[in-house]
Amino acid sequence: MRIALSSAAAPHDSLSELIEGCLRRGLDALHLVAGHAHGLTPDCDTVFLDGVCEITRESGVTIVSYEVADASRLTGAQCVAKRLGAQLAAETVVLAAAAGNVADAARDAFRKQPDLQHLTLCGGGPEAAQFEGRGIGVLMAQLALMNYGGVLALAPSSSAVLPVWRTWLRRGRNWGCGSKTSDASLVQMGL
Amino acid sequence: MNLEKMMAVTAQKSRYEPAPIPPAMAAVAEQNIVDLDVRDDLRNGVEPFNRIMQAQQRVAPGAILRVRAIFDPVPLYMVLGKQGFSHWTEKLADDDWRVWFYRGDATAAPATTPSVPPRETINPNQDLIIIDVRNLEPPEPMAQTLFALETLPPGKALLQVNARVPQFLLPILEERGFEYVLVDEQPGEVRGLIRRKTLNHTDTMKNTTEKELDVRIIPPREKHPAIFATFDALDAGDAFILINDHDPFPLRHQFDAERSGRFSWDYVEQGPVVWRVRIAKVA
Repeated sequence: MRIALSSAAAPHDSLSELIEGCLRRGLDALHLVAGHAHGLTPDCDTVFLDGVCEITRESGVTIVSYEVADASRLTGAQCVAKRLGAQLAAETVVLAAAAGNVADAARDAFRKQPDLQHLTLCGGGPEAAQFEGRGIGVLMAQLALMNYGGVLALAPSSSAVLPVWRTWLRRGRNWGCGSKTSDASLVQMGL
Repeated sequence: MNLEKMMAVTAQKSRYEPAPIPPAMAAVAEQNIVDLDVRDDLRNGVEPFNRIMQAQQRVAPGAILRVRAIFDPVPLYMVLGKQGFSHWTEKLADDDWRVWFYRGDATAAPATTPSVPPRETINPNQDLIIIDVRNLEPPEPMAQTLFALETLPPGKALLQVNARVPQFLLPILEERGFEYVLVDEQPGEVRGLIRRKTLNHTDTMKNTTEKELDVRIIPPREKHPAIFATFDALDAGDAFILINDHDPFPLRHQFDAERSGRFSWDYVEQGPVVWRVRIAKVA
């Protein structure tokens, strides 16, 4: 599984800033959404894309997926993704922690599409701490046990929380292990 | 480490049986006993682990650490056992336990005979981070050294200058995947060169196809339950790689307490930003 930072978490950041945020957070993958400040559009030329490849290769952070909202630009997006060696996240399943149990939603998605390779967790990253009991623990355990080899992109739940993400990406503080108040009732695997 | 919870969980499992006072303990004079009462901490929900670990560092060879707790602190036996302590337990009341930690056979074991890399393999030109702890009071030498190691850049080594052999530090270094060389050429000065053990290619390849549980984005209260749920769902002989943003050694102690003898624990990567541990279910 590749846990990737979505550019939706910092839509005004350049590619270099996104990479720096990834490195600060120990993430080695990026999910880029067309239209953000990173500059990768579906009509980028190959010289530009090769330059991007060089930057990512040097940094150790890989662009693992590329997403475009405009269906009419899918062909161009496909070329961009191919040149970058990334997957085109045309059919990502969005798991919204604010809307309900993400583990149940993922289970349903895999039932419909067993070879699913792209998930977007809206409410991951710095927001996850406030979504206790929304199935994030179960989701991660399930993905581990099924040896999921696809991408899990971390994205904000709304634009209102972008300052939180901005702070998170620019600092290195963590939450700790949480063992003091761990609650097994929050992670029921149903096995 | 949530010692309080671990204690509570394992208190029911503890098997208290009065035993005769060990001879090694009976001979110790009262002034050589370090007393630590953590009953109020436990009653107030305060984590006593750090106080206990600090106290154990003050226990000189031949002395005793005497801990009062409100239940039989079974996990503590394992933690201090690794530091070379044996224990003897008294149950004074249902909520009053007095445990005597003393150095048993472990005192005879030389603490400076680890799997030391040959000195000539240390590159004298290697970049060194030097930390001088000679004038610090315990537990500062260990705390500062471990902190420095947590942020040790890949490929670099730490040179610790100490007034004595850092006996408590050595087993922790082993446990955390560091190797070291000690040199005591001058009186009152021990130099320890510490660096990360390098993984061989086979180890790296072995880990690429295994299940991965990344707990960095899991809400704190769900982290350990998710880890144990994953472990419990494994088949015997199977394993997963735990990915975390800090050294999960408190989890290791919880595994020791709750899944004793049923798991193996191997560090694959040790910071400074990401930690990876291979946790296997023993067949």
